[in-house]
Amino acid sequence: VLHFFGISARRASAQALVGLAACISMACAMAQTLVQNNWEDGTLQGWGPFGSASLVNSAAAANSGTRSLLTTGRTAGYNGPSVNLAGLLVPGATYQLTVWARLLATTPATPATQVAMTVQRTAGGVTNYDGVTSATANDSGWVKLSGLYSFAGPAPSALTLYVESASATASYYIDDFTVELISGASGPPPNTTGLSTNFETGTAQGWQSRTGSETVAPTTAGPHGGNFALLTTGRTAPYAGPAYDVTNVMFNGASYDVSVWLKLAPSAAGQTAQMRVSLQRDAGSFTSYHTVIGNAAVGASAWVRLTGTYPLALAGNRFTLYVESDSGTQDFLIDDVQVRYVAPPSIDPNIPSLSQTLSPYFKVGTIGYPAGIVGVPASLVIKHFNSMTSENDMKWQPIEPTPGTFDFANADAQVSFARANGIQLRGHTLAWHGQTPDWVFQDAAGNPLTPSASSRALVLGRLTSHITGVLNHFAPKVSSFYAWDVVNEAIDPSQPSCLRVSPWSQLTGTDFIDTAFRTARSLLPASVKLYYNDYNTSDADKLACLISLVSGMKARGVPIDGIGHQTHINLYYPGTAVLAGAIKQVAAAFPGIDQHVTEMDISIGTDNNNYAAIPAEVLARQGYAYRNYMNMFKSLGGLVSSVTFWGQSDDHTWLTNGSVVDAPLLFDRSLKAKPAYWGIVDPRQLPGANLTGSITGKTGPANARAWTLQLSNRGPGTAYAAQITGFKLRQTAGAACTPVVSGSVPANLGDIPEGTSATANVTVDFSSCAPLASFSVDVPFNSSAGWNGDPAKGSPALSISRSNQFR
Amino acid sequence: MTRIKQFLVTASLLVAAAAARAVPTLDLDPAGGNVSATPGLTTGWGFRLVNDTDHYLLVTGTQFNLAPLSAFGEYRDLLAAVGLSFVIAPHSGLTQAYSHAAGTGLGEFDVAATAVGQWPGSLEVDYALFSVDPNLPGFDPAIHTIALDVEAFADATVSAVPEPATALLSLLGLVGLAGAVTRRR
Repeated sequence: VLHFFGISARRASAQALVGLAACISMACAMAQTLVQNNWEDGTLQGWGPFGSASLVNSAAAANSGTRSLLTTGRTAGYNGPSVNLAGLLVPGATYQLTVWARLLATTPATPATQVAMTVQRTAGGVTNYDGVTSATANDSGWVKLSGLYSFAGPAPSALTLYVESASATASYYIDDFTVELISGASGPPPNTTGLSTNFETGTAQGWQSRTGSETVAPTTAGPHGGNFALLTTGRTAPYAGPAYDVTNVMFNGASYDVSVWLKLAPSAAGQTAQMRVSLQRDAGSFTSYHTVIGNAAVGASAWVRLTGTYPLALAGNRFTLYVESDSGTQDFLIDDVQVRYVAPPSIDPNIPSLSQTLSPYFKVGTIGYPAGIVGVPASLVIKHFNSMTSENDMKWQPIEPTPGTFDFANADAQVSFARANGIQLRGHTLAWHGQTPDWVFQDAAGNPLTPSASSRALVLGRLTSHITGVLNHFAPKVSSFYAWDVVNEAIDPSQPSCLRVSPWSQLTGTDFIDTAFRTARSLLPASVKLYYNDYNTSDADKLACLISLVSGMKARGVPIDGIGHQTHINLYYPGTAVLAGAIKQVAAAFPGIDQHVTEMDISIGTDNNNYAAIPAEVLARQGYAYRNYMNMFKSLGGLVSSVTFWGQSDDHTWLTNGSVVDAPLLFDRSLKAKPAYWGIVDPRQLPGANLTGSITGKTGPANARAWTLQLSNRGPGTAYAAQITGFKLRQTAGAACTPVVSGSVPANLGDIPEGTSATANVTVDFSSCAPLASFSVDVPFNSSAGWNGDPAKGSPALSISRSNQFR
Repeated sequence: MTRIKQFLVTASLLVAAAAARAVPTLDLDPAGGNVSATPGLTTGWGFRLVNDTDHYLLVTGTQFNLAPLSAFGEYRDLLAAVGLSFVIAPHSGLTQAYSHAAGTGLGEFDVAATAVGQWPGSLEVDYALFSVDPNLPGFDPAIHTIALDVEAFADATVSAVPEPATALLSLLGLVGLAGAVTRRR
């Protein structure tokens, strides 16, 4: 049976043929038929009247075979033939209901009329009438009524399907009634294995031609990774491309991270195509098409990754993932396809609270945004954070998009949420070159202002009005605020003046900074500290400019209380010692000044390091990095009084955009604690935290003595990229001698799974030493690319340190 | 192999297995290993190390696991540097009290000035076993080494205790808060 005569949501006619071809080539996953009535046996087959009606088995007309069911004697629209489906259909499942109908030919002829399938459903004492589908019927031919049906709530005590019509008295035949199960009630997916195809077997690994006309085949020509990619040629339509039956991979109600690498084939050199990843959903005879990852420009010179999270909320009995273009039929390559199940979010209620853990040291903050203060994400915020900074909703553009018209809706919601949950607030931000509406720097005619005394006065007046409007609005709730980022990112160290070139600086010099701080100070109580906030503050030139700027402000009597170090950093930059040095330098330059870490996140990579799936090893590295940075903040003796993370979980981070997927925060996209969290709360839980070393062998002659050094991982988890980085002997007894060390140090021992060990040998020539000469030995080692065990990265040293060692 | 030889081999293996099962035990002073110090000051552990083996035990090092982060402090090994004088004969023990001034004890911990709370972990004593006393003239490590590098553990926790003045201030703060609450009523 081929089910491709039905409705298609878009691309209808062409796609019906596509679906037919795909069904032939891929063997459709069939719907399960639960009920089938054709009345060929001459009985009513369990059907009866719904209301006033007479039903007879008739041989006068048939859609198929020789018989059908005729209904006459109706006196109301809802009267008609009916069948009891109670106990057969269950809540949450999706069914396709189909029946064919035809009016009884009468004299005079009965006008064409709407015929409908409806389900009367009673549950919990409440009766609902669920329309399934309708069609216009006449007496000259059969019309098909077919629709998907599902219902929620408790199991019904009564469930009756009936066929009614707009005409209260029309008589009609019905035939070929079927109930097919399309998908069961959605619940946990039956498997979460996902899909990973890289074509390295030299086969298509389950990918097939979608329409049957194009060719898909593995190729060694320029793969993204490894030796093979999948090449599609001979496309005759934009929707033709490689397709994969994901019916047993992607399930209704689950979310998936989808990643596909794409490149046009050499035959399309010089061209560009907009390409996307799509999903075909077949539900019985219904077919619809859905965009999984939207269009991205793809050329023939470089691989492009299309990636995104797709919540699958479609009932269906078959799903096909495919790659297509918006237009054109160029040959193209795909490689390294990943479909990964994303667990639904829930917080772990039993892990320690971040803010409680760090309460002896500083406040712990996160960002506020509309979706972050409702539902499960809100629970995460309430449990772990005691400070909040509005991500975007207190900036000028969203709060005063047109002169004098303020919109505090989102900001107020965040303030209310914070106050209701005992969370203190950092205001952010009053003057910034970004997210400031154009009108601020335009004249009455909408033209850009040019530097002049009047322009200066105009924009400073607007700045004062804006700050006054904002701070007056929050005045009744000001007791919940403890800091405000007054000016944001005004420094550019490449400028001789250190001032970023912006309309603010071009029109006012540093006056906008002074005005902002003075205005804020005049409106805020002393308990709300006023901050200058910037990024890369540990860069030497930026730091020098920062100190110069603040020195100037203080010399002018500008009321500044604190410095905000944004701390958008990554695994390679800037290093704990550098950042600590900057904080100490600020403290030394301005004794008593407050310092906050205001927007911290640790990117897992750089623009050149975009992972298809983020390796566990990288997340472990990040966990140690967070441990070391947080340890550094704690060790500064109160110089840092607040640490805010620029987000809670990796599903909402400014670092993920377009084709770049980052994971810079403490909780993953399912709101579960990452190693980053454990690095802060309990570093003993970091992967490979209990990596220890020992000396397990000394063999061979004195002039080539081989010492076996063993690293043992007592867990938890894998110790990634374990390394022995040195081997130093120091003689402590016996006549002086000079042992000569050779062999493979530093030695890479690779990943050491929990509960296992790895060894390396070092050869030492002791021939110049007396037999009982003794030594102390120091063998530094580390894991997670040095983040665990390397003092240069802020870690405590790990070392096999032994004294009293004989050769 | 004759039956007698087989018996001797089996017996020697059993003896060796019994010896292997006997392991040195480490007890810390104070018992339980919980020590404390005011931030910025030093504390440490005395110990009793019992060598319940048939061999001579030579201490080769001590360390604190997990290695403390600098925000809490730093551990210093006091025992290993003493060298061959710390050979413990078979079935005997050694007891030593901690003294910062004398440099005796297992190890000591410099509690960082910024330390807050506790640092839980364990102390590890690394040692080698020899079949003869390594201080004797006939000792040859190539022949007499039984175990190169093994360790004994004991739980240990360092607590940073606020100095009395700070504690008093905190207490006064609490009293003041209580007063404020009372006044509000």
